[in-house]
Amino acid sequence: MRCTSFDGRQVDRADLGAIERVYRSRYGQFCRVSLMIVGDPSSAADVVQEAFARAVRGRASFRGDCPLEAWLWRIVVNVARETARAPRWEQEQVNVEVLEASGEPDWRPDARNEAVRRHVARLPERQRLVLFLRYYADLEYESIAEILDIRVGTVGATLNRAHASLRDVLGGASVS
Amino acid sequence: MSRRDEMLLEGLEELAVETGLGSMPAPDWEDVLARSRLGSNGFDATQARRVVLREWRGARGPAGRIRRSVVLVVLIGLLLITVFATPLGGAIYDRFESWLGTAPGELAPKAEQDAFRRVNGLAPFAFPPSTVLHEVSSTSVGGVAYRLLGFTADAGERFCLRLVVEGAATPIVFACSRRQTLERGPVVALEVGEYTVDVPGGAHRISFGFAADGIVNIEAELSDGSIKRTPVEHNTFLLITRREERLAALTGETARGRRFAVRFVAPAEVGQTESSAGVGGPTRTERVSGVGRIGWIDRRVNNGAAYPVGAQKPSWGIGEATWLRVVRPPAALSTEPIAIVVGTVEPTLLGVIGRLKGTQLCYALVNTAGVPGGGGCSPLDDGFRAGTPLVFSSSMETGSAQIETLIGLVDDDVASVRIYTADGAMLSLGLTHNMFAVQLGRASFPIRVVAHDVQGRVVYTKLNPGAG
Repeated sequence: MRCTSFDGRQVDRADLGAIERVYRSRYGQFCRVSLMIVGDPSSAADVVQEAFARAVRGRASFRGDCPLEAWLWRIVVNVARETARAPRWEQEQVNVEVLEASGEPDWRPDARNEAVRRHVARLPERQRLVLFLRYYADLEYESIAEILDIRVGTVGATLNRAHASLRDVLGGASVS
Repeated sequence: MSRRDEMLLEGLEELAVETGLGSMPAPDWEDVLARSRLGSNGFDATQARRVVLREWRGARGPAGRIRRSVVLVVLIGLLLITVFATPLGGAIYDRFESWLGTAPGELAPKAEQDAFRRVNGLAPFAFPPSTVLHEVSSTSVGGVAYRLLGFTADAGERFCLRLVVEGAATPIVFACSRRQTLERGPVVALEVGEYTVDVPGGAHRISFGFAADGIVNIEAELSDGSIKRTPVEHNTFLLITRREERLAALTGETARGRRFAVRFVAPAEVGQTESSAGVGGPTRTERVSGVGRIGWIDRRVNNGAAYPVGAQKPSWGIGEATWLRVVRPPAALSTEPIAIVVGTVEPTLLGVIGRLKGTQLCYALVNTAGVPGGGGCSPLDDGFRAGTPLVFSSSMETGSAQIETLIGLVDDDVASVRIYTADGAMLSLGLTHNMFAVQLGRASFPIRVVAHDVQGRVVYTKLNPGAG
């Protein structure tokens, strides 16, 4: 797969300084995406720490043929999925259970949010990941494609399907 | 950004809520660095040495001299720990740099990638479709080409090898090992001469496995006393011998001549290593267990996950599954991600002929190839008889003849399960919905499986020689 750069800069070596810069600048986004995958704030933070520890350990394997950030995102997403410990069909169920059980203050009890939350949780894993990476990590289609190792067109199509699924919840009558 | 995007963003933003994660500053980078240095035993020698050295430098004056003396002793102790407790070999020969992130080597040909995807696609617990194979090692013997294709799984935590034999009508074999397992020893054999292929001029016996950075050769001592060497390529070795050449010993060699014996169980040894000598753990129960039930299964509570839609349901050869759940016990030590399918089966005519009566409680392991293995069935109402609160089975499901997988069920009386191995280790296994799983090198057998109740009393103990 040919990789494009996230920000126009190409890092050809994953030195510690470069990894640390991404860690510091993107920490919140890594955590939010991780949270939506594992469904638990403390695990989400742990996932990010563990993912970066692995990145530091494995930085020699980064060969500069992808943006460093894409490589790091991929590790974070993989560690989060691994933490959730389930294939797709199980993942959906686990997340629904985790999210539905959350009467905690972390989740606003607003009815529409509740509906959005349930719908998002029930989306297929790829649709959820694309949604999170698009809206929580603010990544472009190309970057998402690199992280999930899918085609750019697939990102668009997946996002469209997710949009369609959520249209009713979000008052889709007025959505073009 | 379109209106739809804005609405979605708005909706998702509201979902992100005040977990504090989004706005929280990144925790100390040192924590990441410390984690990255931790070995599998959790002892961070580098960090410990740094703390002690700081103490050393900070010690001033008469009191400081005493402190310096104490610190000197601690430093020597740390050095000894590094050398002996965390084996020096482990400290140096426990890395697989070229396998971090993805498998090394050239991309395997498209035909091989396609062939793998076809097989992989049939399995309900398959590797991700994005799995890519790399050619890590190859050799040619007697005109037959042998190639090892490698790939990683589970975010780079699992290393897998797939053997392809050209010019021989033979099935293809693959085997995986967790990085954690590999880091325990400089050389890990996944296949030792048990896999043979019939080729022109006589059958070949195949051995392959992983070797840590720094190991450059694998030396094989054959049954006739001869020595055969094979180079390590991309942290892997591939050794081909004639069928009549059995392996007597395997040794890993560094460039400087340091040698490491490789533990393995040769085919000829199977069934001959059942001595319980060296196996620890309690040999007697302290209480007779009388619960005999697994409540959630009795009530058909949907714990775990549903069996994949469309995947062929296991029947255990006795009837029709009426209720199935999939449970994944926690990974512990060398445990691979393991799925256990458990459920109830109503015997059909075949089962009735086999004298099965009533609903059966069945369980089986389902590996990434989607092949149920191990496990078994017993009457739901009488599965756990008094004094037997644990059932387990063992099989070789990773593809490696050197690794054995144990899965089991315990009744509601059991709070913990431990395994004592012949090499002196004790493993505490996590329970998920009354199930446990562990993978062990066959060289660790025989083992003792022990169950404790909530008060720590032994309610089950049994010696197991292994699948053999």
